[in-house]
Amino acid sequence: MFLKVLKLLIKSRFSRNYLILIFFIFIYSIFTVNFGLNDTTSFGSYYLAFFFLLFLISAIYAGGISTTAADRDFLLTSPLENRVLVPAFFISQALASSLIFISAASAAFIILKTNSISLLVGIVDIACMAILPISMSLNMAGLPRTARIGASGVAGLWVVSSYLGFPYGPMAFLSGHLLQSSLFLIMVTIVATLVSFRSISQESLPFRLSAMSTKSKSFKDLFKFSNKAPSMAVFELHFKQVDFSSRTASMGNIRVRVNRVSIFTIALLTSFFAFAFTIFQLVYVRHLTGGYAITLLYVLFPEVYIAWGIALGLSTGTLSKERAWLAFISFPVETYMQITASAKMFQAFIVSLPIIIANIILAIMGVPFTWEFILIFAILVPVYSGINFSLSFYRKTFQITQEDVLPSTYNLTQFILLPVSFIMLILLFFSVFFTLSLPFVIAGAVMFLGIFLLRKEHWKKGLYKMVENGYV
Amino acid sequence: MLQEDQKDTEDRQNALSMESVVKTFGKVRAVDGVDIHIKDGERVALLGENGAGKSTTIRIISGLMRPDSGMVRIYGFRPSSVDAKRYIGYLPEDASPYLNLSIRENLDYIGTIRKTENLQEKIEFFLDLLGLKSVEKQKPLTLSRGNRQKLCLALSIIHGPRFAIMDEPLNYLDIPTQEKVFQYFEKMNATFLISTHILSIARRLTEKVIILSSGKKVWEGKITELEELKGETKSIETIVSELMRNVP
Repeated sequence: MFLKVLKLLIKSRFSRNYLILIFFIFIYSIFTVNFGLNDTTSFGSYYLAFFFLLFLISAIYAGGISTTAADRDFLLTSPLENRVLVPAFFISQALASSLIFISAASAAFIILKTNSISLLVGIVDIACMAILPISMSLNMAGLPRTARIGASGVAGLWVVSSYLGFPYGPMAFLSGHLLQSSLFLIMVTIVATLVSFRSISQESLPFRLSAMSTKSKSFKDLFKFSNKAPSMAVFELHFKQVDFSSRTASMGNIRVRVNRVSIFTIALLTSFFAFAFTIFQLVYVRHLTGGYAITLLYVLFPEVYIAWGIALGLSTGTLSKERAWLAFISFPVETYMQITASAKMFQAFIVSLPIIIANIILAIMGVPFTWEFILIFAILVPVYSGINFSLSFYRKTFQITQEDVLPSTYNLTQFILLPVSFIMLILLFFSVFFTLSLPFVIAGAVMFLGIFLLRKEHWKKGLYKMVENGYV
Repeated sequence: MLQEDQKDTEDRQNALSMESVVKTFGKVRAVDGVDIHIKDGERVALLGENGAGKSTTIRIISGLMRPDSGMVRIYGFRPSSVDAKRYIGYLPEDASPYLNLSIRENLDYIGTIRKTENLQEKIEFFLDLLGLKSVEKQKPLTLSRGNRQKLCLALSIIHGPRFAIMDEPLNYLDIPTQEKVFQYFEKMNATFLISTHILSIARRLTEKVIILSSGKKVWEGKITELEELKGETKSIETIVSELMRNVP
C-alpha cells in the first residue's frame, strides 16, 4: 500500500514542466560555474549558501507539505494509516524539492572536485541540505508566524556564521572545518527528520499539510474610488497596487494566495537593491580583472534579474485577480487594457527610479555599462511590463479551478527561465555588441508594444479567446 | 428599406433580439441557430440540460463571446458595444470578484467604473441587504462561497441595470438571503434573463421559459403553459425533462 500511495503522490507532483524546470536550473548552474567559480573563497561557496538559505528559510517560513485538492478530499479521508501516509508524503516532497536544490547546487560539486575526501563529505552534506528544509517545514507547520520568523532568523545566522569563523556552520566544510561542520549538519538533519516524522505521525497530519490552512484577514486601509472618472479609477487601482497571486503549481499544491502590495513597498525594495548594487559595483566589480566581458557578466547578473523581476513581477498578476466578467462587462476591452497597461508601465518606471538614480551616480563615477542600464530601466523595463501584461491574452493560460481564480499567465518556471534566456542572448553579443544592440532591442520592444496598444482587434480577439477558454 | 427601419425600431424596443445564432467549438455546435426575442421588462428563464448551450448563449448575449454567425442586439446595439454594456448587468455562473480588493472596495470600484449614481448609499444598501456589513473589509478569498456569491450578485446589479443576465444567481445562497434576493428582484424595474436548473427559481422569478437542448431552442412559452402541459398525472419537472430531451 505504501508503494502505491508513494507512486500516486510522485505522479501527481512531477509534471513535465517541473522536470523541464529542474533541467534548466541544472544547466544554469553548470553554466554559471564556468565563469569564475573555481575557488571556495569566492562566488562558488556563496552560491551554494544562497540556495541552501533560500530553501531552508522558505521551508521554515511557509511550513507544511504540498498537497493537492484531490489529496485532501480523497487520500486524507481514506482509511489509510499514518505509517503509510507520512513516509509517502515525506519522500514525494523530498524528491520534488531536493531535485531542484541539487540541480541548483550542482555547481558546488565542481568546486569540490579537486579533493576526493571533501567531495564525498560534500555529497553527504548537500544531501543533508536537501532533506533538512523538508523536515523543518513539517516541524514549523502550524506554529505562529513570529516563531517561524524567529526560526528563519536562527537558520539564516547559522548559514552566515560559516563565513564568520564558526566551525559548525553548514558551509564551514568548505573552509577547513570539514569534520565539525559536516557532523553537526548531519546531526541536525537526523534530529529534525526524526522530530518531523514524530510530529506528522499523529492525528494532526492533515493540519501539517500546507493546503489545509486558511486565514482570514481584513485590510487596514481601504482604497476609495467614488467620485472618480471610471478610467481614472482603473488607472489608480493598477498604479497604486502590485498584485501577487500564487499557487504552488509545480508540486501540485492548490493553495491560492492573493496579496496586494503598495507601490511604495516595492519602491523601498528597489531602493535597497539599488544601494546594494552600488556597493557591489564599487567594492567588488570595479576591482575585477579580466576585461569588459567579465565585468559585464557580473553586472548583468543582478541587474537583469532586477529588471526582469520588476517587469514581470509588476505586470504578471494584474489580470490574475479578476474574472474578466467584471472588467469587460463594464469597459470596452481595448480601453480597459490600454489604461491598465499604461498604469503598469508607469508603475514599473516609478519603482525603477532608485536603480536609475544609482546607475546615474555610477555613470558619473565612470563605472562601465551604467548608461546602458539606465536605458534598460527607464525604457525597456516599463515597455516590457506593458508587453508582458498585453501578452496575457495570447499565452496558454491555466486556471485554478478550485478557487475560480484566473492566475498569472506566466508561472514561476517562465519567470526563472526568461532572465536566463535573456542572459544567454546577451552573452552572444558580449561587451561592445551589448551596447550596440540595445537601441535596436528598445526600438523593437516599443514597436511591439505599440502594435498591441493601438490595435483594438487584438484585445477583442484576446477577450473572446479567454472566454472560450472558460474564464468567464 | 422601410422593412429594415421597422426591424431596427423593433430591435431597439426589444431588450434582446437574437436571430439564427450559431457558435461551434471544434465539431460541437454549442449554439445551433437559436432565435430569442425578449421584450423590454420581460422576465425569462433559460432552461436546459448540462451542455445544452445555456452558458454559451448567455456569454454571447453579454458580448463576451462572438458568435460564428447570426445576429444579436441588446436594445438595438451590438452586445460588445459600450451602448449595450450600459444596459447590461451580467452575473456568470461561479463568479469571482476581484480577490485583491475588500468587499467594500469591490463594490466601490465596480460602482465607480459603471458610473453609478448615489454609489455610497447603494453600497450600504447592498451590504445590509446581503448581510456583508460585518465582513466588508475582508478579502473575498477568505469568505465562504456563499458570501462571495452575494458579493458577485451585488456587483452585477449595483448600477441598476435595465437588462439583468444571470447564470444561476442563487447558487450557494442560504434560504433567508435567497428570499431577500427574490424580493429585491421582484421590485427591480428590469428585464431578466436567468439561466437556472432549479424550476422553483424559474417559477418564482420569471413568467416565460425558453428550453434549450443540444444547442437548439426546443420550446418557448409561458410558465402557465407548462403548467397546462403537465396535466394532472405528470409533474412540471417531468414535462420540462421531456421537453429537454426534445420529446414534447
